[in-house]
Amino acid sequence: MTRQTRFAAEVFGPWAKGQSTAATIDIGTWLVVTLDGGRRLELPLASLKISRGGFDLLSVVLAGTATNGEALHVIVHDVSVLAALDQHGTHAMRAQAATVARSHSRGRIWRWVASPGAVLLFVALLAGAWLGLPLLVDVAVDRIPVSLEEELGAASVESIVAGQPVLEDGPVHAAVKTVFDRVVLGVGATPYTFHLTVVDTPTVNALAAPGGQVVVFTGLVFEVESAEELAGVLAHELRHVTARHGLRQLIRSGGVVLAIALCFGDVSGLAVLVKTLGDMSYSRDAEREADTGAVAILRRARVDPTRFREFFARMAKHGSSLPAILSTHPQGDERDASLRALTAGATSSDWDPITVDWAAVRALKAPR
Amino acid sequence: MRFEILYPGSYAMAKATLAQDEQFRAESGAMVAMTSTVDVEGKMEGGLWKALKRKAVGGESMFMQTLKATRGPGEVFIAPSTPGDLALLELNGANNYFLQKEGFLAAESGVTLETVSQGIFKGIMSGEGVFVQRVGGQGKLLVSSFGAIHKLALAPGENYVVDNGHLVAWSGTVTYEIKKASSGWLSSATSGEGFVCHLTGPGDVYFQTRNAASFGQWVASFIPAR
Repeated sequence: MTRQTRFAAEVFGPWAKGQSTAATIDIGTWLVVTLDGGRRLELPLASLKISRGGFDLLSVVLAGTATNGEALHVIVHDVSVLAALDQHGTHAMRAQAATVARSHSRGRIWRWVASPGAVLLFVALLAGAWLGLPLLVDVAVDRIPVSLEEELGAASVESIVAGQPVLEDGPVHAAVKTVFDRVVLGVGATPYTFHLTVVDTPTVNALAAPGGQVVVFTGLVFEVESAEELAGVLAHELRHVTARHGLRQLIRSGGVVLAIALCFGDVSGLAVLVKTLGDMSYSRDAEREADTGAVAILRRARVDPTRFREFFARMAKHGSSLPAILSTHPQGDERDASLRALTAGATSSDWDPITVDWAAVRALKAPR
Repeated sequence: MRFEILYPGSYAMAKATLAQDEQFRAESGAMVAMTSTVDVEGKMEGGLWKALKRKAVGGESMFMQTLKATRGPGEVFIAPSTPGDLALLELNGANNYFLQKEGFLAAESGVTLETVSQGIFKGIMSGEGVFVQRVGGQGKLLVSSFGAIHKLALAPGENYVVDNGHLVAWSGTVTYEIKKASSGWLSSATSGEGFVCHLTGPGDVYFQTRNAASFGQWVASFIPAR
């Protein structure tokens, strides 16, 4: 089958800023641009940079330098130009064309929002939404693929870390990683790949971001008295991840509009919110669920689950200088009692110690 | 035919000069004065469904008027209903412009007009509405603004930020994203406040010097509550 090789295009060149010139392009070994008025420009196909652009990123942008030295931006509104580039281009260009084609199809998912049925549905949803926001959030959460959640998680970790020193190796990182890997064993079947980020700041905290991301601050590492205490905090955060608490909170903070947009598959709004994730705290229900889940994870990983409660109880006694971990994980008698109930009946034959000498780890704390 | 903008500034008006049998389309109610050689016809552009959609979602009138010089050469004066300026945009058959919902004033008959969705999130947060109008085809197009119109010519990759509610028209080659205006999360997502449009070239962007919604709020503050 011979594919179409001639397309209508708009060309931006050095001759006019902002205003495009109509043109016809032919794709072969070269990209031949014939401007309205007859001027002909040629660009080697291999040097083209392909991207998306224009309204809703629905157009294809080919950027390159013509043989006469003029830098050109050729914009084609017909996406089948990608197929032509795929046929005539080099291997690298085919990869580029394929990537851009994929991103196009993602943009198209929510194009049907313009249909009349969707408009009515939107109005009906908006009316019912104030009453049923939690339900709507559930629906929206279910519609977000794990792959997107992972992208969001990576972006939010980036904004949480934001220039603070990150440990990627060394004894402290190794100790945390050992505990983390042990706890992950208890998570069981999950669609997530877990990522650990160790941030070297005195903050006594750990947090979870969507898509399997857990961030631990070294302040916490030096505060816990044993590997099991840290394991408890990590298990708690991992439960936030697998229950998608972060994502849920993110959507809730975006309100009804975002939730509805997500139900329709329009994910553009999430990216706007992602930077706020680091400042969020979870609801009491989510915290309770994370505690319950954490104890289950610890039991499956054969880690002593009682130490975790002791850590929080000890932190609560700090008095005036409450560490950050308590502001996001409110401690109360109720929580202490429920953790006590959850871990009741556990005996030392149910767990194996984590073989990290925590006193040695704590000795690595740099004087500040 | 020829469009000419008279009295540019706050109370601009356009004059269309027609040869016999030439015609153009204008927003319903835009006609101010004309020679008696011209006939005005109300038309549901694009049929009932498209007209309804335009009315319901685009904020435009269901009917457009067609002005045709049936009995010899003629002149028509047209103006938008709000105070503001006019700009003349040229469509060459290859390019498109997108207009915010109240931007269209008039166009030559070769210009095509359709309502497209820009997505719910973007629509609500941008202040330009879920639906915007895409104009294509060939010919001249008149757009109206609230306040004066400023034109920006963006080079490829050049970025600009425009507050929501101020966009009038932009080239189809311009990419735009909605972002929070500041890094803090101070305002509620549903109010649409605190969001701005990040535009990336190449292409032309026309924005208006006043925001109709803000102006409306200001006026409302003087109306005593009953």
